[in-house]
Amino acid sequence: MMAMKHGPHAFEPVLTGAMAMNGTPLVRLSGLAKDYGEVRAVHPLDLAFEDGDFLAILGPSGCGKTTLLRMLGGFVEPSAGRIEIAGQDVTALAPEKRPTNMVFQGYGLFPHMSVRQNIGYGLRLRGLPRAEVDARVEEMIALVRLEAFAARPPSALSGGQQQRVALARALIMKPKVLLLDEPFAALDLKLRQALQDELRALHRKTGGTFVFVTHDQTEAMALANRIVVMEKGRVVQVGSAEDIYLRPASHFVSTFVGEANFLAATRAGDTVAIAGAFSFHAPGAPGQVEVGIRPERVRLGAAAETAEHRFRGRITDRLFLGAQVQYTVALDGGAAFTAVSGDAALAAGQDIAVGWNGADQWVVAQ
Amino acid sequence: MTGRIRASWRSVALMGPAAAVLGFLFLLPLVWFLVVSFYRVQLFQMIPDASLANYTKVLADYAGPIAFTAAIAAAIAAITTVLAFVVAHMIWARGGAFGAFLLGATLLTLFGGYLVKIYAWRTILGREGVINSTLVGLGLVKQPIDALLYSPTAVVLVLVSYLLPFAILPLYGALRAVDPVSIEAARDLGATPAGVLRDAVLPLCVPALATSFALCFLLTAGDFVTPRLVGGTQTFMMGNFIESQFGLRMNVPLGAAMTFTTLVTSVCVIGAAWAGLRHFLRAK
Repeated sequence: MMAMKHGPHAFEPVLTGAMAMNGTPLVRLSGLAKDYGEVRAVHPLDLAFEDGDFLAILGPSGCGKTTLLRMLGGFVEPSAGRIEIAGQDVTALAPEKRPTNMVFQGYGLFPHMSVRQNIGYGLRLRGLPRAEVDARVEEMIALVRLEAFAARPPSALSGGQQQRVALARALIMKPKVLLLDEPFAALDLKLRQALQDELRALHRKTGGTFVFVTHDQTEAMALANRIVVMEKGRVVQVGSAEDIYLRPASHFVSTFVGEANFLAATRAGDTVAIAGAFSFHAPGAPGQVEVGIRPERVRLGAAAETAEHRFRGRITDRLFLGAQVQYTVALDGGAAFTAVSGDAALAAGQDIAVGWNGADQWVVAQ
Repeated sequence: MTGRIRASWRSVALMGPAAAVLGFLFLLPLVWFLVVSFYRVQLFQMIPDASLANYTKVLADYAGPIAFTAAIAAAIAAITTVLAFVVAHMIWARGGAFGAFLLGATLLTLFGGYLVKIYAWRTILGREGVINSTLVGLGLVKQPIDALLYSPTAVVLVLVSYLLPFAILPLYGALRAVDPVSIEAARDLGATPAGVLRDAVLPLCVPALATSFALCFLLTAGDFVTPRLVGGTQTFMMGNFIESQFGLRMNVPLGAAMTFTTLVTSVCVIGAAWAGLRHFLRAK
């Protein structure tokens, strides 16, 4: 998937690229499912990800994303299916026997241990020589820049610092897969962005495979090279940020990852037709469909004249957002469109041309 | 500034009633006994004195009973604390209906009084008791076993069963304060379930373990009813000897000296237990 690059730093790669080269995915989930009594939290799913992937599991709360992550870590026993990591079936293994480590949402730091003791705990359990544990702990403390806090208990740290301790405590184990459960959920926006940058830098430096769960689509798009979108216990789309944003697979994905305008259409014989407007070639199952278009891809006024698809409309609302202006446009024929434009000169009540290009639209089942 | 002064006055005022009760009913009598322990007795009259004769006599005549009392109290406290931790851990870890049932059962036993429990054990262990009549009835023994009841073992049984709920509650409280996420984190980092208990649970329970041990130890070391009712003629604890000095023998100064010697011994045992727990359960 993603070529791993290792800079001249002290850390050896967590895994060599061998797995990716011979085509075997690092993690393979087959038919993995989880039921809680009558409720199916995760429907049987198949998923594979490669060594070096930075994978986001994205979905609203209650979609089963955390259950999926906890099955990977060994904290939830699957009802069906299997989990393979680096060719080894780990489905029945306890968490302590898996080549995974987790950064928990509540961090779960040990309150009676200093930052240093927290970070070194896993290596001490492995029975490594004291000197090696100490050296690697100091290295990790430097990596997450906690030198000044190494001797303190977790209770004396801020939320962001605790988060970094939790990250260091998991990373020091050099897991084949690092699992992160809503890692930034408890932090404020500024701190979240700073830590996202740090996490991206850590992934570049240490290599390895990161899997994180989030309900925040901007976080998923900012960090991950692959995004798994889940809805009601099912995986509904897997792809890059561009894939899920520009070519969403369903109405749900369209609106979950961003704002979207829709026009009702019908598909017959691989042709999608918007009644009274235009039709275009788009293979798929016949029936009622929707044509989607992002607000920032909608062109207004003079810019619309060169667009492939054109409508007429009237601006009903204008919202100044700073860098951009958001217009609400009532199309002739009834549909209301949202358009985001850098052009602040348009006014409410104005009749205007509305257009977009075929490459910016997508079709989903209604 | 004035706010802080007012706040400190308020806390003094709030502590007042409790401090008064503790001071008048506990500290003052204790100081009085400390003074009296240096008195002497002549013809059943206390004569003010500053003699160490009472302490010399205690060390000469009662070193054995004090050591026995400390040993049996330490054993009872240790057994109770361990059992209580097991029960508290079951209540905490299982949760759900079973945990609620165990917690309810623990609280329910507090409804039975101290003497009620002693007599219940006499019924179980006595000559005509449940165990002996079963054994005789089955023909396993010819004569009822007297040693079941009047023995140190019976004292241990009665006091452990009596003290158990008092030890379970603080331990359960301590376990409830353990962050369940840190338990999962320990597993994730390679700890077995036993390792989790050792590294992530027990160290956080040290204050509660020490409290349980101290509570059980002190209640046992000061007890004189249980040894009299189920201990038989061989099991005399310091409580019995002290009681007889204050009662029959009317030698309050010697009784006070025995009290203080037992008190100092108890403080040493509890201090040692606390230090030991802290040492063995520290984060490494």
